[in-house]
Amino acid sequence: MAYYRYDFTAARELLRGRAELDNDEQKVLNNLRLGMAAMADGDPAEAERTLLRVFELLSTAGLNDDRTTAAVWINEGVRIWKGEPFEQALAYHTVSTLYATLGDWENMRAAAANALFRLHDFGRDQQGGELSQEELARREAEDPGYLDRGYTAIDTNFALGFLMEAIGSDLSGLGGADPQYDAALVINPKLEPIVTRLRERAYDTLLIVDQGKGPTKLAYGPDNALSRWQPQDVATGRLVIEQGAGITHRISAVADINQMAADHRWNNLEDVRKAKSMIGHLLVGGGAVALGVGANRGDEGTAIAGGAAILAGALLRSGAGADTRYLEFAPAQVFLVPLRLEQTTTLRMQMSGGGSTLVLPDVTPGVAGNPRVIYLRLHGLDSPQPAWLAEHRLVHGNEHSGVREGDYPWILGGNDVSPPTRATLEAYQRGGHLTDFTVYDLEDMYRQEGILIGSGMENRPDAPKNPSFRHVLIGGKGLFTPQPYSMGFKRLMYSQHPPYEPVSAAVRAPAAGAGAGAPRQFAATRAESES
Amino acid sequence: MRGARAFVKCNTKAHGFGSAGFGGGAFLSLLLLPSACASGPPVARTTFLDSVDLVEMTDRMAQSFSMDEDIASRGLQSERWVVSMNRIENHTNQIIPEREKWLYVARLRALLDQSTLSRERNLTWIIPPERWDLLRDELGPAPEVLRLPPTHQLSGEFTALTNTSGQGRSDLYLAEYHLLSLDDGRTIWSDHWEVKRSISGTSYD
Repeated sequence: MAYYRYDFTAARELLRGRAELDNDEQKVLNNLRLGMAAMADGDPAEAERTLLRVFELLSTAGLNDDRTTAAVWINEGVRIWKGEPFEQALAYHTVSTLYATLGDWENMRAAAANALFRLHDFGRDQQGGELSQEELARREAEDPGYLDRGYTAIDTNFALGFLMEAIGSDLSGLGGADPQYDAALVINPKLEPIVTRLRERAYDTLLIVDQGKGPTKLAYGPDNALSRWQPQDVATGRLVIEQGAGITHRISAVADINQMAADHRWNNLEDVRKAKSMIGHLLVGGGAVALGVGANRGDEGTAIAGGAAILAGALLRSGAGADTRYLEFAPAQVFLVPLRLEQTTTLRMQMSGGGSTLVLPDVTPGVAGNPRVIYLRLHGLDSPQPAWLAEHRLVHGNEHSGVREGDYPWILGGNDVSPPTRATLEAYQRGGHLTDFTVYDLEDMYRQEGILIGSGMENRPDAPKNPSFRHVLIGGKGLFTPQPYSMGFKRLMYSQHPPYEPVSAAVRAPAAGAGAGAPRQFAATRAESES
Repeated sequence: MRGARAFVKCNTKAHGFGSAGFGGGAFLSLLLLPSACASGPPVARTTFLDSVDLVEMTDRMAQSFSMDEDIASRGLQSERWVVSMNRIENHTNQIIPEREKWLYVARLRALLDQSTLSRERNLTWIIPPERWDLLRDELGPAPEVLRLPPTHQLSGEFTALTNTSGQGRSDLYLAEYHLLSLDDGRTIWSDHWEVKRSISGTSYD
């Protein structure tokens, strides 16, 4: 899967069509997948567009109210996927994280607040342990309707949600953060060090790290009517972060998704699956009886009725399998790391349980009260570990880093991929390149190559839509800078890429020439063609 | 066949079923019921503010602004007010993207600018200073003399009281707009608009 190979661009290309075009029971899931991949890739525009759809649909009351009967009779796949409650909380958290990276504290708070819905608690089993699906099924079978009334509504235990809401409340100036921090501490007192730092605003940088692969959902039991969550990444330990030289942080996860998935309070839909399975067994038995009696007596009407019941029972049983759709991109753990950097600093991080190292060179912090928030997606041990994760050296100048001294456009043989702005052109010209260019000329150069400025949907009616989301450095048609310090930014700007292959004559000739002379040759070639 | 009859008899005793079963009509309805019940594409149905609210809200605020005593008492010879604007502050539980936060004030400003009110009251509307840098890249740096420093600011704040349960949700929205004097922070004009929205249905499945 491209997502778990750190190829978030490819993952988005595979997901985009379904998310943008399909308006069916997979809509929430498709858009959530695409939104998460876009966030990891550092494209907040696509992330916002897709995650807003998710937010709106998750906030819709009765989204499946007219699909319940169909789900019972056919298959739960006909229900619009909204995810188990823990997946819904994760979805709201993802929206909150997006706005945190944009410095939009108000929306960060609003999204997180929606993740703090109440849960249904059915108590413990007879041994005082966690309730299993089998036990809940038995209770429902013995007491029909138990799943609708046998619970107590309790406050959420999603400490991560309280922390995100508190940070948003504090930084937006709304107030009310203290009770939210307190609520997180009641749920998990071990969060005290993080909460103290957040409460005192003793940070100028905040890392939000999704790590590992979340649990997978499996069907099992009679007619595969039951479902359970199987952890995929476990015991990966703490997140170890080296801040410059000499300062090391060892951070525990704020959210354990495996734990949430195993908790019955964070799951749903058991009642429908179990009821369906039980009815299926009973109907098959009754139907067989009616068919036998009718056939023996030569009673055609009874025989037909019996056959109908058998078919109905078979229909029910064939559709009794649990819905095993789930959010494959969910992490195993979520870390929240407030840091005080005070100056541009290189961060190096790794899980204490092993795995590759991620280096974030030259992180420029925010300030207390307006921190820089960075979202990172780290995979587990079963994912490949590309070399760019640990790379220290910036290969390509960009909108964030600025044009490096003496550099010029990558498509002309240089290394710079900054968008064509006045400031970019002035930097090239200070290095003696493109001295007779205007900003329009610079833009026109890219236009002749069919390169679009910015990441986004190609707007020409007959042109493919995906290439403009892919950066020119990796064979696409977009020239843009992903969110600084995102995984997408690191992959593009800290990797050596194959040389650019020009398509227009104006760029092809000078680009085939040697090094720093290419821009001057481009100008000369263009002047020739104009004369 | 003999074995099958024995099986049927055993089950008859065990479950007490008689010869009556489902009629042919019921059978057909069973087949038809799923397709009849599987509805169309997912439709968002929320308590969130939408474009209808934007229009009604800003229409009412424009009317209130124009009828305000302090505004109405100004004339062509009054000291010029240079009015900038700031996006609304979102303190609701709804996501309001950045561009929409500006839109809620921009539409109000546009309504006030369309009429003769601005000219008659000597109000000059300017692009917010926070956005001057965004334009500089396109238009080049503007001479300082052309950048009017604002004397007043138009802005707003949205809050909401949200109630949720497993069976639905309600939001009571309060949208407050105000015109502030940047000299002394005094509120020259303010007004509010409110609406309550509620929806019923299971909020999570």
